[in-house]
Amino acid sequence: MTEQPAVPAGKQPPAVPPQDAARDRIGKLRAQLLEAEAALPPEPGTVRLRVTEPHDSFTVAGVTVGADPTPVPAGAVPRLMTAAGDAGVTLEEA
Amino acid sequence: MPTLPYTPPSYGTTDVLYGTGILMTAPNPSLGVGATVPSDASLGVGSAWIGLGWSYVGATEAGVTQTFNPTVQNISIEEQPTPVGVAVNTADLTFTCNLSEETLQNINLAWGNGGSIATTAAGAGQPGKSVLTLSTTFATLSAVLIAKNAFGFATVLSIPTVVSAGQVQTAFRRAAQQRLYPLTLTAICPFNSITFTELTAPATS
Repeated sequence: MTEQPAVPAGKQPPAVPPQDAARDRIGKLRAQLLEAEAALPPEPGTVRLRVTEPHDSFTVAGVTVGADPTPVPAGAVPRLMTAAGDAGVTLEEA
Repeated sequence: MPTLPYTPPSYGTTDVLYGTGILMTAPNPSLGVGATVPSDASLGVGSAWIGLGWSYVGATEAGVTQTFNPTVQNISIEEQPTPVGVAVNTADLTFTCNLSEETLQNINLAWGNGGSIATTAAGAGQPGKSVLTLSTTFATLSAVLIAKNAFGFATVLSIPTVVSAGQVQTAFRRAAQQRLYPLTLTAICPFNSITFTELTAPATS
């Protein structure tokens, strides 16, 4: 067994590679952003919908609902719901 | 001896324009309400339109054609061979083109814009996919045709409400041509809500 050369205390390599740390941080910030957005009341005249798995987006007449809560015009909701039913997609109010 | 001059007016060669037009569409925010358009300074900026939710139809086979087709009714009297009046009976305004980019968005647009598109991301045992489910409940939209004018700026023909309701025939050929999706957008809004905006000069400050 060969002995590793001693590394000065200040030059220790970080435990987590910087890229992974940045990704973790982005993930946490994104989760916080979604939480904050969900806590906001919807804009007047809009409703927040999200599409459930296995789908991750659903578009009707130019209005797209994502897997995250998405504000859509209230007037577009009946059409979205009908089209979702026809397409076998589940939309739920978020 | 008097002269008899012949001096025709000059014509404007710089006003003879050519070049493609950019067709964009956007959903109507509510029934009969036109989609928001960019500020005057950004009318010629593609990204400004996209940022407001407009979609560019992309490549076409032979450009976009606008057609204004009024039909008129002559009001005649027995005592005069020429009509005493001409009344506008119908006035159709359409944008037509053959879409060359085969995307589900374009297929839906050509087929009445009534369908829905559900996407599923790839996962374990699940290939990624997009499914267009068709519908005959056509959705209206706003349409604009943007082109460069004699000043070098944008001219925009804006129709707040159109419906896509043309015959669509697509040939699947080995090599003769690309698959095309004919698009016909017909204005269904009051005629006085349709505008032509010509930018003529930048802002002074």
